[in-house]
Amino acid sequence: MSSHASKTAWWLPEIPKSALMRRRMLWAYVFVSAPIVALLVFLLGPILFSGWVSLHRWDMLSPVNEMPWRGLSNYSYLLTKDPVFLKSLGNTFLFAIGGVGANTALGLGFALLLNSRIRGRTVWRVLYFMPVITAPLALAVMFSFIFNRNYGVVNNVITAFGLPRQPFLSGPSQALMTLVFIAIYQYVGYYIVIFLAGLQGIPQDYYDAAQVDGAGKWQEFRFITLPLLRPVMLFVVVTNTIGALQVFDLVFATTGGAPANSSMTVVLHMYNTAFKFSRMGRASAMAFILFAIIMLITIVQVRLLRDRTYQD
Amino acid sequence: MNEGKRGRAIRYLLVILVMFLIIAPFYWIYSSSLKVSTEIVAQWPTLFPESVTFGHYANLLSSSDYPIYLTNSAVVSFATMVITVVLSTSAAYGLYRLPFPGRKTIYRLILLAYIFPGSLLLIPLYVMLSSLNLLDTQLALVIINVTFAAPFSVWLLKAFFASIPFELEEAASLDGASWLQTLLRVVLPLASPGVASVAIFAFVTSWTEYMFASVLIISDANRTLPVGLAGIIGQYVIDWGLLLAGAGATTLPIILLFVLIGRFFVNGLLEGGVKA
Repeated sequence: MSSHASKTAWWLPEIPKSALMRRRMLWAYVFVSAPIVALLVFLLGPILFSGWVSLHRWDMLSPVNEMPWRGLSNYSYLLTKDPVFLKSLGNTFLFAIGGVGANTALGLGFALLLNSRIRGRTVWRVLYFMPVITAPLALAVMFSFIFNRNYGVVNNVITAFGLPRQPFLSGPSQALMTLVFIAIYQYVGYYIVIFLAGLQGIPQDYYDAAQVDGAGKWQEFRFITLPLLRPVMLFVVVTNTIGALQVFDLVFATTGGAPANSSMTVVLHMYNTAFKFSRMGRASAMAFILFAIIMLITIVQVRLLRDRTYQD
Repeated sequence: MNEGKRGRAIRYLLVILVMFLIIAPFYWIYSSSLKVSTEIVAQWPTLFPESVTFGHYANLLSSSDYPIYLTNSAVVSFATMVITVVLSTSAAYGLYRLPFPGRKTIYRLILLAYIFPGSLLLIPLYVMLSSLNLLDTQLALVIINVTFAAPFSVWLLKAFFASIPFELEEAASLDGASWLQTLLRVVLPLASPGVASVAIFAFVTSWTEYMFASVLIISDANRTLPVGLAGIIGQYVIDWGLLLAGAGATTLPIILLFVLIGRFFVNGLLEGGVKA
């Protein structure tokens, strides 16, 4: 920890203070102002409004200034009296833990196995990205068909081996697991490519030096690869977790939360509460609870994975 | 040496195995969408269609407004792309190339916006856009998609703008180039891989967005492809041929686009995001 680190922001490029640059300062404000105004209008404003609505009862039909005040009762209702919300919270956690865990492990694992020059990189990288650029709704249709109880190809294969048909997305104990599987399919290729790029950014000299010192494969991984991969790991884990905790499209279009809410997630429950049952106050409270959870988890992840070696 | 050769063979096999696993579901959906209805739900599935039929696609065109959805998706995605590129490159230029007090704060704000859970804005943005009388308009979708695509884009552009030496700008300025000329002729061309990946990212984000489109769009004439597809999913009797054709037709344009220019996105993401 040098004092130098606290003065300059390492995450922003340093700009020389020449006369030319000083003349352009005004332009900077012009350029940056549009996105800042957009941020305020489309992020900060709505967040505050949402917080205000969450303290009321509102069906969206009555005017905003006539909403009946409910204090924190929406929150207390959700946390103590709404079994679907608590169930959806548990499901969302399981989905995120399963999906992020598997994607990180598989992504890193495959990347380690593949870490060398491989021909045709352009082709297979683009192919590995295909599930990520496909609309989740189309993926939902694909896997509803593939995992269908009666004529899905997976069940065809299973029964060909003399095993009983599995309900997959229509089974109370299997729906969530099947959704995790689809999420793995969706992202694993993308994370392989990202981890691979991270691995290939680590200078070979480090490994050469470690070999001279007689380090084994595991020690190389533990003391060179993992620490130097921290920024990539941070990106993968944080973005994947934030996305997984908000899973919606996929669940909406495959199970709709069924059977018996066994695959209900927080955002889907929020969506239904708001747009099916017109309970905007309660749905906004859900949004705030999830927001608090996501922020907390993100802060913990950033603390744990932040690149502490950057200053030297 | 032998060990190295075997290792390399295993690596190629792995690359191909993962490629196969990723393509297999796509193959299954597209090949099934060309089968006749009885063959789609047959007890013993066929690897290749016994007789190729485009009936489900014809049905898609006649029973749904697929061409309208396609046009809407294209218009919304294109507009999102253009606006995101203009906004995020100018913001990135301001942030990473120009000195001004408060830029650290603004950079942090943009990062915060990037990790902010977008789905939680569904209700307030819906209320806001409805009070602006923008419900059921494509403009509403463009506004939403730009809002969600721009913060990541600004972040992605950091590495590209940061890697351009300031001496180049100074030299251009000494040669008598105006400030705008310097930006357009020197800085932007050097950052163009980043700009290309931002463009593709914004387009794909917009093309695949469902949640906001499902509540902001009401009339059939304004639906985008994912919303149109949800309409088919929601039908009472499941027509798998129609569903598969719908999913396939929703995905095909973006796959074609990605096969043509996807490498710019992949490279740009890796250069800008991972190696930064």
